[in-house]
Amino acid sequence: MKPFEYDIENIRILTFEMLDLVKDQIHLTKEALLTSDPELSGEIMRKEKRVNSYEISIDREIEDFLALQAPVASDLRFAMAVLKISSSLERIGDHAYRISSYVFEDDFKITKDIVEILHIPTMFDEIDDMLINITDAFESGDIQLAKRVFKQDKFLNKINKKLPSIVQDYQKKSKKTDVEYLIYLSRIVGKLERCGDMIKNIAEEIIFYYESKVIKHRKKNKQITRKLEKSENN
Amino acid sequence: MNYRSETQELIMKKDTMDTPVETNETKKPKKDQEYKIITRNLDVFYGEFQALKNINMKILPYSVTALIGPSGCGKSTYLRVFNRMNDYIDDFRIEGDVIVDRKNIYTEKIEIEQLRKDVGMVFQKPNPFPKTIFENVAYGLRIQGVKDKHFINEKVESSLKQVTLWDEVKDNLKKNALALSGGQQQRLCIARTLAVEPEVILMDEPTSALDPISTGKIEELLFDLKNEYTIVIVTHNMQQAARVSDHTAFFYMGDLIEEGKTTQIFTKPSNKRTENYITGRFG
Repeated sequence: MKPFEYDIENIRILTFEMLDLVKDQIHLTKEALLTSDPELSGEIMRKEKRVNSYEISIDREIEDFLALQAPVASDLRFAMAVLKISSSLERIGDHAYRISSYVFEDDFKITKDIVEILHIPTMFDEIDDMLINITDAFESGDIQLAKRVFKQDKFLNKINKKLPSIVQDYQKKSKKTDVEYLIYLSRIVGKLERCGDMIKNIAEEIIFYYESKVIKHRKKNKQITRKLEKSENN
Repeated sequence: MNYRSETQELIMKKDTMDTPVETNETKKPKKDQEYKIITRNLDVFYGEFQALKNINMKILPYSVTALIGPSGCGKSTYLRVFNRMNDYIDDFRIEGDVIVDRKNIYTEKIEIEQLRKDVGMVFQKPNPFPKTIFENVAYGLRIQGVKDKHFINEKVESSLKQVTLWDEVKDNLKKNALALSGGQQQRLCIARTLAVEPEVILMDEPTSALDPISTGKIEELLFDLKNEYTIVIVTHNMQQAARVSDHTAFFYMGDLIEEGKTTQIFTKPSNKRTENYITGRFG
């Protein structure tokens, strides 16, 4: 193994460790939220410091790698991709931390009747599966696996989009008027949806690394063009 | 048009969405007349050994083209083809076309001295003559029979200024060139080449014997010189090729494996051997 290959291997190991830690954080957050367990929430908050440390470590390793090895081609794409992957993972960790803090600090207790209506366990499971998919895709270079998360992200977006009407229906049926409770629910669903976006960004970086294809913003740019054209025609 | 150029186009367009922008993909393919150097089906032999195999390549004017590859790959042989420097080697034989400025330099009647004036060369080790600084730069002009002292004085000054050596030596022009530092000597050799107003400058590892500061000065110089000259450089330094060149060609065992824009070669090479070489995984 050449010296720079040791550096790449070291960065890869750190990235997979960070992925595993974030997966674990999501798993624990689901449990802490559904069981309203403040002790577990505290553990998640403590682990958040480790997630942040991983991001800083990866940043430093990549800074050294760029300065000392001056990588090109696939090695350069690897470094660029990992920088963004670790940043996205850190943000997923942040969302897990925030959700846990509702239980730990604000004594938020979710009621069972709303959990299923909002598909919260399903959202957590989907995120868990998405993280597994990107981990495998990053390890094996299986682009189809990376692309699978785009569909999964759409599913999360759909739930988030339906949130206002679901909450409204729930409010009518249950006659709950606790606005603060409903705001917390909206925040949780919103954060889970953002986790999906972050994982989608990671998948885009994996595709960039392996295939040198830039696909981010493509669909959104097309949508903007269509909307602008439509308004011009009107 | 690919997604990368689409996004580039959007940035360039800014708010004037209706301004047409020329991107790499929309540019028309160039005609042969627009290239400074063209090689077609080029084979080079040293006796029985074939040093270059069927090389087809076109070099644009006013650009820096880097030739890279491991030792013995044929890149220096290819460089020396352009001003017929290989002619001195025993058993050297060439087949195919080498066209410089629309002239086939191996089949058409050309004067070698004129060719070497038009296609100047800078070597790995600085090789100033054991003469004064002034005489080193004036040498080519004198060989050409230029006698006008005023013209020679002006040419020496402008050439030394072009290589940013003037301020360092203007008070010591009668000093022996061999007393200069290695980096200064190399810049002097480039000034000597520029004094006879070449069209093309060939550089065979021009900085490999220099320290980083002198190397930096030569690289800076290349950046300025490409506005007036066509430069072809052989280098073993990958980062130098990436920094200074517009186009890069990768040679391996006499074959031209891949050539293209330097940004393309160093970010997304299409050939696995190129990728392995530039990333240091070769061999």
